[in-house]
Amino acid sequence: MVKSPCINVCRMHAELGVCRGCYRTLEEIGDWSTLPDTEKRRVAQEAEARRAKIGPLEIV
Amino acid sequence: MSGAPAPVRLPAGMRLLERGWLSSNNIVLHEGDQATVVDSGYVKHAAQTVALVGRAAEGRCVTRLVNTHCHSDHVGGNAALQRAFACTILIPDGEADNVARWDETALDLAGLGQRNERFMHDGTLRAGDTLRMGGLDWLALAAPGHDMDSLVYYAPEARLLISADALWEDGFGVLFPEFGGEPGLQTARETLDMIAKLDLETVIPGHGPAFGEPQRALQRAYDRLEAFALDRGKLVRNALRVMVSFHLMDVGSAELPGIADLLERSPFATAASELYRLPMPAIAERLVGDLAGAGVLRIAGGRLYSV
Repeated sequence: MVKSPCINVCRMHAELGVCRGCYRTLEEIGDWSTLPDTEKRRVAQEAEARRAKIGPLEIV
Repeated sequence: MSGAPAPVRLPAGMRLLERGWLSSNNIVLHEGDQATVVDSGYVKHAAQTVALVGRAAEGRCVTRLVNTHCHSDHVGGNAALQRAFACTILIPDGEADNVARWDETALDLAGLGQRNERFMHDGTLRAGDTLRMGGLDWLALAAPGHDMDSLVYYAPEARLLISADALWEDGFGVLFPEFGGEPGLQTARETLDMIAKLDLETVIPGHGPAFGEPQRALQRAYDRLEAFALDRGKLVRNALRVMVSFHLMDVGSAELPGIADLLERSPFATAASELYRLPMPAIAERLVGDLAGAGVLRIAGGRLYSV
């Protein structure tokens, strides 16, 4: 069971196209419930890589 | 046995938007060139809810919004969705007066420190009503316990239940009515009994993923109710912990005096005093310690942070 990366910020960063909290795209958030665990893990890892690259985003 | 089970399959024309815990899940159901959305999350997340629902409608007009119950985490996006899509809003009949007058106390807003945006509903649903969503016929069923006016929606043809906060994969929503002198525990058990009698394969809860094998979730829920019935302290502590962690998810960070204030103004103040037999600031400190130990919050520089 792969835990959702959501940390309850839930605000999209318009230019970067990712959520300011979990760093997922709108598509990744919207499709999360349909993904098998292997895909969820991949999305979670990609989101984490984006966080590492982009750094903290202001929660506005 | 290797690997995890595949995610539960929903009927064609249904999209489950699984959110965090501050916002309820949103379910988008397609019918022809129109779409219905069930529940709208918390007000703080309304913009993202509108974006997610719009995408999930896949080009259709979102013409209708149906609520299971009117807690702030299920109706917080109602006003924004109505502005964005001009959808008709249907709420449980039992909440119609409170919503029309926007009675914040009756809507459980004031005492829990939660926020909302006022909206006006267009119509109501009551137990026994049927509605067509997503190409299926759904029956509205009364589901008191967590909320005395809550409805759940059952599609017998698909053996599918939209269960709101009456039943999750592991648990159910806080039994607020117990703290207002109403039979929350008893009616929660009756609601589980009602659900147990349905021909059911899949449940879409108000929070968390959709799940199969509903008998297992029901058993866990019954066990939890039993534990609460045997030890009221468990019920009280659970309610306090949920309120504090929700508050922290909402505001991001807080200080101990703020938590004591929240407890003091809450519907749980009397129950908390009776349980702990401590002044409220000491209760807040105890609770925060418990939540830190459980990894739900962290303490840094005298401030509390949601994890």
